Amino acid sequence: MSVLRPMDKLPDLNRATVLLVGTQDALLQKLAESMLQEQCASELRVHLANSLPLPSNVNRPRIDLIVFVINLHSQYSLRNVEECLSHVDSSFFLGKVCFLATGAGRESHCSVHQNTVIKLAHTYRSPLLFCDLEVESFRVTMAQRLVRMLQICAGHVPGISAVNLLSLLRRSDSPPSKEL
Amino acid sequence: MASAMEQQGEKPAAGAEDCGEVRDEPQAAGESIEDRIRLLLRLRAQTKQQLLEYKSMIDASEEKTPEQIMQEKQIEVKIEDLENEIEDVKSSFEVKSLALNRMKLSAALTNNIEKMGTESSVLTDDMKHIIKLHKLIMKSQEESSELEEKLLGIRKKRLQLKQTSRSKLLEIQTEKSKQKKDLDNMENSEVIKTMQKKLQMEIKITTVIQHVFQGLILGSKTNWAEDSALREIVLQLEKDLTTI
Amino acid sequence: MDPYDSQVSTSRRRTSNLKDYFVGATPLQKRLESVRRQSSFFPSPPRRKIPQCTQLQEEIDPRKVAFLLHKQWTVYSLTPLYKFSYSNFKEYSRLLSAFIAAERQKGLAVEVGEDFNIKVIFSTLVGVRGTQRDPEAFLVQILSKSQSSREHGEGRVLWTGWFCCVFGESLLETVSEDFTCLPLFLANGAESNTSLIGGWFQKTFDCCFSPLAISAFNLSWMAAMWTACKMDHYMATTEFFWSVPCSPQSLDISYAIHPEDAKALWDSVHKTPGEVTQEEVDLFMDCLYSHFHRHFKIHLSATRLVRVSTSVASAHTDGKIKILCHKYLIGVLAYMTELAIFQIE
Repeated sequence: MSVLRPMDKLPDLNRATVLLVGTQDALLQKLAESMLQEQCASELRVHLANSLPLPSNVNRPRIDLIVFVINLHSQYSLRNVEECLSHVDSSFFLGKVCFLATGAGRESHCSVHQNTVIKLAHTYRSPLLFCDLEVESFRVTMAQRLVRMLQICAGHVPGISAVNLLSLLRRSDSPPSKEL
Repeated sequence: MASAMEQQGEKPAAGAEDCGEVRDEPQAAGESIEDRIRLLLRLRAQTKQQLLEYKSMIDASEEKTPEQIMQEKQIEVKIEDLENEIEDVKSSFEVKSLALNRMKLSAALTNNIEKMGTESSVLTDDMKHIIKLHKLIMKSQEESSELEEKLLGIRKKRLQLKQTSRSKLLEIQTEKSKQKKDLDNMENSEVIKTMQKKLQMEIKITTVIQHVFQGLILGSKTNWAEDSALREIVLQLEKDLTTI
Repeated sequence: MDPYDSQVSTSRRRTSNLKDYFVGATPLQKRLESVRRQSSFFPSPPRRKIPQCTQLQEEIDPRKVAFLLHKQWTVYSLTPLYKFSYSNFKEYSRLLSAFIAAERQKGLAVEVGEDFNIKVIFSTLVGVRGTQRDPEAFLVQILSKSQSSREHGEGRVLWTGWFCCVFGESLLETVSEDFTCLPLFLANGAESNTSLIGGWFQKTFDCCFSPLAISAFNLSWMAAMWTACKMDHYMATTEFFWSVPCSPQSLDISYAIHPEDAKALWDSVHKTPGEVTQEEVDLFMDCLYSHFHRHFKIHLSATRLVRVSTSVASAHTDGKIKILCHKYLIGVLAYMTELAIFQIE
């Protein structure tokens, strides 16, 4: 299967699966560990991937949330994520995709401008979160947020759906592309 | 959300084969019936939510999507419109549910009060307190509006006073300037000029006469210093008339 | 449900235009507006002008500014100076030399006599500005006075520093009359002298220095802009340095291209005349990265650009630049001023 579709498998009971896509394995690993350490009533599964498409020989459950991790220090991660986006079905973007930009704290090391990432998130109508994954406390907080988002996207929270969450997370100010 | 916190890693302890089965975990051997019921209820809520999502997906895919190729800008505008529609629907839903809740609350209150009758209870006490506070609020609002009006009146008066004082000062200023102008005019008037000319003429004539007399006295070669009367006359003739 | 419907209609279009709220022209309000604008949108203009030598308003005498070229300058950004006047230069030189001598003699026995063996000179740099509205640039030099009175020549230059502002309109609009805006400060010489003089300026004019770090993103912009400059002859090869973050110690990769090849590559990428866009910069760098990847199988885009060196100028990420060509001096300074202003804000 070359394209990820959100609803092509039945959900497992009480199980929520998140897919983290990014180039830097160390960061993804740390984030995954922080997420698994969160207390959550549902059972969490974290899958890590460097790029899409995923190999089709593995039997994996239905993916509820995809988090694309972009490191602002390296343009390679941005290009990688842009390539991966074409392997995701468009119905995923109704709230089940999230962009995570890391490394914005050290401005002097950034080779990708924040505007670029903001425009990318705006084009795909998905929420963009900024977090410095190297710092322990920020990572833990972000893991909590992601776990909560994952629960909503997997349908474990009655009354809120992924689309609902998406419209809640919409930015109220106009994006920079309109301003300039 | 149920209070039973289960922490699972990537390897689940046991898979669930069908919906109704309860998990059998080694550490939850001493689980009470309530925990199991809670788990079941939670699973039920989950399944409901997931079913709702699938249903909505099916409904959405039944809708015909426009097949024509639209420009990117148009697509953006359309997406914005759709997102705003979602927002509107959500907010109207919230508002309606708020209204419903309020109605439910008031209905429950009235029922409760009917049941209790006129005996004092916490609810009636609260309501009486609320009514008292409302009256207090209204009274203080009235007072504050009165005070504001008074303040406004005083401010108006002050403004008036300022304006009148300003006009008075302006009048004074114009009067002064008029006076000054009159003075200047007077000084420059013709009458004074002719008078000044005549004065000059007279002074000249008198000076000439003085010199003539001087000449007469000196020319007569009398010793005017001895005679006191002549001396007085000569000294008087020395006076310069322009300095008078 | 009528009152509720009105509530619904007001929740539409929550996007508000900040510009509607700011009609006042006081500097404080303008400053607030610029600060708010900066905090919500990050400035990255998608197009920028290529520095051209015809942009100069006044002609710079190449000989007068020749001492600015070919020297390594450490760049700082500076907040506006309060109550600075160009006519008090003698006074300032006197005060500054006394300050430096006092600092040097701190802790030692006080020497009798006023003969300090250093001299401080303030002078204006004519022509180093973008428009007429920019404040005049000025130069501070520390010279060592010779001990013997027979030598009449100037002593050796120990330290040089200069303040300038090139096309700094966005900052000039927001400050009031008492302030002089010279956001760019470049220093060459011993670090101790720089900190001494910086301290004196901070005390006297109530300003604030901060070292200007140039991010990899800005370095790639600089590389593209400077490659785009038309040069008659190239005096240095175009070089890029990358730092690979890996343990135990970081690797450095250097990539040198013949400047004419770089210009040819740029010309093939460049579409809009007279302007540089973000896409062109990205494409230019991508070409370099893919060429390198093809030969060495290393993804340069995953590393961090630390230094760029072209025939026009060279810049290091720690905030050190060296300008090599006097024709594009103003252009280089204009970009550095923009970075400095962004850092101040």
